[in-house]
Amino acid sequence: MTQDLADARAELCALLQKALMLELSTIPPYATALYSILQEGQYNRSDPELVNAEPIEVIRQVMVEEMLHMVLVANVLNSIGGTPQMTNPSLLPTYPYDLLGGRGPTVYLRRFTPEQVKRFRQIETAPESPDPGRRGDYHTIGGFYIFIKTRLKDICDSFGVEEIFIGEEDRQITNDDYYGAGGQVIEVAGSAQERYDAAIEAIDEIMEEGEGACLGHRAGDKDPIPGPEGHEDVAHFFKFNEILHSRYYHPDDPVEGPPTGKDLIVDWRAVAPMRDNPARDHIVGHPDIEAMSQAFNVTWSKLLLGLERAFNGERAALRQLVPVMYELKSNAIRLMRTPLPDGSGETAGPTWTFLSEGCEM
Amino acid sequence: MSKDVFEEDRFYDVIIVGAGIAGGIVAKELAAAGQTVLILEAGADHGETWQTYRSYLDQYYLSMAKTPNSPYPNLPTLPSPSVLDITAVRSTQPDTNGYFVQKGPLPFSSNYLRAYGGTMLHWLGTSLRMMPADFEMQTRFGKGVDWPISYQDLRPYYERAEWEIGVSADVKEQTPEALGIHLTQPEDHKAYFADGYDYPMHPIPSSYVDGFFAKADDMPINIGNDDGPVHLKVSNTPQGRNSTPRRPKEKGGTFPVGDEVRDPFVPRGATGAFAFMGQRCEGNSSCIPICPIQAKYNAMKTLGDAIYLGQDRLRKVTQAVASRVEVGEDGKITGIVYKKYPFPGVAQFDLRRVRARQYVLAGGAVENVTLALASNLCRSSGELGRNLMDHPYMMCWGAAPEPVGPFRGPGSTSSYANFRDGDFRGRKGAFRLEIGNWGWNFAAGSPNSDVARLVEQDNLYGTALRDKLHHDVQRQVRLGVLVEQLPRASNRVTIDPAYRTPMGDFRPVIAYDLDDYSRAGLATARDVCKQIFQRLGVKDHTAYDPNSAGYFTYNGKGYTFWGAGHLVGTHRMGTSRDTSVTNSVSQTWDHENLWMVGCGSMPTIATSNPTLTLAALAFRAADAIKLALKEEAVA
Amino acid sequence: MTQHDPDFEAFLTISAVLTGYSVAELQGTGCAPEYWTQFQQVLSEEVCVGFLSGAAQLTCQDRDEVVRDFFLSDPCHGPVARALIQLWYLGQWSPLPQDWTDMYGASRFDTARILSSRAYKEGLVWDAIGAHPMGAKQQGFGAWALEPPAGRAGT
Repeated sequence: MTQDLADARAELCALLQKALMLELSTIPPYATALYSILQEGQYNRSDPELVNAEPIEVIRQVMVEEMLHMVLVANVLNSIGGTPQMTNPSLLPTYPYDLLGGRGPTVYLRRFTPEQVKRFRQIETAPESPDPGRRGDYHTIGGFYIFIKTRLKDICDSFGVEEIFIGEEDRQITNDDYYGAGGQVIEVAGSAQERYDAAIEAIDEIMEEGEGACLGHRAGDKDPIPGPEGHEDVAHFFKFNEILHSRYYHPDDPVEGPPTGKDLIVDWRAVAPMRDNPARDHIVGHPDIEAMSQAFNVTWSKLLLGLERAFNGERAALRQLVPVMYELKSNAIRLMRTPLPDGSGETAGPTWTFLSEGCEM
Repeated sequence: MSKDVFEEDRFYDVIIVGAGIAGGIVAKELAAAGQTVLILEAGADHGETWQTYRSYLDQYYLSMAKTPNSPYPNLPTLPSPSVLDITAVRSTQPDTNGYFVQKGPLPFSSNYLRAYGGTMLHWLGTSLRMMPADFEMQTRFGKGVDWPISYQDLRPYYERAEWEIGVSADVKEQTPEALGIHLTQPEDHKAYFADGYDYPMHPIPSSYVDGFFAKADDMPINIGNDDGPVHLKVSNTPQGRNSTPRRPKEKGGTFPVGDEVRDPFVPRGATGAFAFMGQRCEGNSSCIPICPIQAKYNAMKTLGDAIYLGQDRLRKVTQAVASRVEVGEDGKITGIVYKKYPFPGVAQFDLRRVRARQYVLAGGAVENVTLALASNLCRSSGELGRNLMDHPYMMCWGAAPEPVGPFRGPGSTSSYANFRDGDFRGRKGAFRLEIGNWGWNFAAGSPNSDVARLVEQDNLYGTALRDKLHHDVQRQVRLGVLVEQLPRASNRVTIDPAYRTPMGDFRPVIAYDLDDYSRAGLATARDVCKQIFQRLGVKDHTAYDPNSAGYFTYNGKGYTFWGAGHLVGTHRMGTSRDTSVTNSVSQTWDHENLWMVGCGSMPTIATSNPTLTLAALAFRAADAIKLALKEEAVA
Repeated sequence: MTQHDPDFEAFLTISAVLTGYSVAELQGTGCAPEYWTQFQQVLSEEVCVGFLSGAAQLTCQDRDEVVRDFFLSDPCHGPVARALIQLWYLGQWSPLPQDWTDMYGASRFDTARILSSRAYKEGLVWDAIGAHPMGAKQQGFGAWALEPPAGRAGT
């Protein structure tokens, strides 16, 4: 069976659109766990001890990098002439969500617990071998990206890079548009061959920061931690492992072993008692709380609409999204402090529902 | 006190007193050059770990009066001056409320912080270069003194300082022409920046408030220049806080800085596990007194580099109060005796003596002087401790006709720089008008005072209260005037055995006044602010209370000034040992191996916040110290 | 948990009317239990019971009249109501006036202080003025350049 050029392009676009949604789908569970952690110093006012500042920072870094991954995927998708979609309700994740169309783990919206962090670690697990991924038999995020790389290479081999990398260059997000911690934006620009190389580099960066899969048996992800020492950062899988072990990794720690660096203090009790998988049912008939939930969803929708615009030529829209992300955080924390009306002692939480109407920016 | 002094064995190339930006730069440069360095810091070593930095933040949240020093430990044994101590000096007896002994006639209202990291912990971040004319005040205007160096001499060091601090700005927006300044000599326009040079990071975005003020741009203002009015222009301020780093035009490209080329700037954030925080300013709106994410530069960043570069060649001792500098018969310094106290706040200490080839005092304009006076140093010119200057700081505030979005972002992102030079400087002080982003916070304690007023006096509650708060506070605008002050012998730091700290060290005794040159500048600035308000339809709420500590009059009108925290001039540099304390590289005339580095070196203050200039002077001094060490080694 | 404590509910109901924020929004600050504790520590039981009894009247037709009559202009309830509003808006307790404490009793908890770092950050004033607490809840790089949010009345 031979594939024509149009089909080949469509296949790559569909794969990258899936990758975009995959990256997006990790953000609500990570963010929900993150925002449920009571902030340092606030849960016990008589005790100046700062709790959980470090796990908050560790998960925050992972999330910032997931956002960067979305930008990288969008750049690759744009470079082959695709149209990134961020607001298509039939593509957007709803929770509980089966990653990789059911081949990966199911993710839930839950507060910060050891079980939930173990689930996050599972999400970021590297494939044992790259071979099944190359054949399309993937069960991890890393395996999926290996498959994308394989298909990209095969299709470019068949049709030539010039036929594939046909996107408009000014749709590329640059470091000036999106500057955040945890890695550089890679522009997929230049000649067709340069674009191909940049696309592979971008996918490798996503994999390195996620599972550390490309690096061969080390926890480090090659990104330097800013500071005079220039230590190396570690990949997401290992960041979650740090929280579970209450120890930081050393970048040279072997992947099989536990972290051997400095202590990282985690207090699993200093967490908002949010009910698992927040849903509208939990608060129906309580207009005050419904209004807060609605406010969260309006902000979430603003973020998705803004991302779609930014990924489709309106790069300047990215800058306006920074305050939207912080607003999302405030709205989520407010919900997680609001007791559910049933008297159970549990609190409300964000449902991460996209509202297709009525949220102009 | 007759106490045994413990002799430390180790002999250093350089001993630096004070772990702030000046000491940090000298330490980093010397450590990089392979020298052995000892840093003595009087304050406790609190902020270096994230836990204690976070505890500063909690202290800030819980402080009722959120003053510049409020987040930081104020040890009874090692006091820092506080703005809360300022009262009018009314009698013939000095005011001894705070750490300073104030002899007046006006109070010296500026503060600083004695802690690891120094006053950079609570600075605003404003990083301005001086104007070429500022170095020739005597020649051009017959006022003050000339510097021993010119703007062009200092220019390469400004570049190094901007890359050390990490300044966000755009060269093409910062030339005197772009700022709308009438320079007194046309050739000053030339080469204000070196060809091809640019700041390490792109500008910090200007605030929405700045945009409101920009509506008055191009308005002509006559301030007495012979060449006609200046045309108002709101200009973005170079700031020592992280923005987006500038990228080279082509991949792998470099940037010229000083006399070398550098890789693109890498923003530094907070410490330890929080290294990724603060790589960009996130708008916490609390630069003074504390940046929660350390996106704003503080001296702990430079000190951290120095410690890393120095490895075991660099030693840092905190809780170490340099108490006496010892001089040999040839005038050279032979050692420093310091008080090492084990428990912060407890006046119990050991005396230790340390020795080095070169000695650097970098404790700030006041502490450098009290230590030097206590040690009977640098007496030949009689200038030590004199010529204390600050930017007398006056505020004008009002209600804009529309919401302007205050209380968001850095304390100030723009200013009117138009008045920083001009031939009017023969008659009155030049000034800069800083646009405040935090409503009437500094001027009237907003928004707390608004809540109290609306609840207690206007008897509002509920949604009406909420809406009125929004209405009133959203319209708050505030301009700050920073006027130049001339060096005067009578504005002076001295010591008096009658006034000591619980540790037995001398407290600074300060005599201070504003001369008519500065008063005239402030009065003119007040008129300019009125015109701007008239042009923009801002209802003027400015009120100067005759009972306030900084109240003064000029031509029958009353004004109130505050301190800007810009302590300058007490050990000025010059061309002659008769009229200055150090030469142009901060080496004291009287003691060839003693260097006094910091704002105290500046002969005049002009209109720029002094940190960037002090940093440039510190690099210049560091180069000279390296040379001195090399020459000594050859000899 | 306190949510079915009728006194606490009355405290929240009155707080919502006095501040202009819904009970859920007040709960969302996470400060309600702390403020309730402070309130009980400052007031005698008698004053507290009297003050909370006003909650029942707030469901009537002319709520403004109840607030002004029962709370704001009442010699006992007025200063308490004003202190309570400022507590929610600023996270800070404003001590009751001397003539009030002479009449209704003093408490060692009746001192000017910010109750906790969370109380500072959750002060309603920051939301009301369309900003964020200084030093916390950062809005992100460049947010200060954007048009400020309209007030709720102005939308």
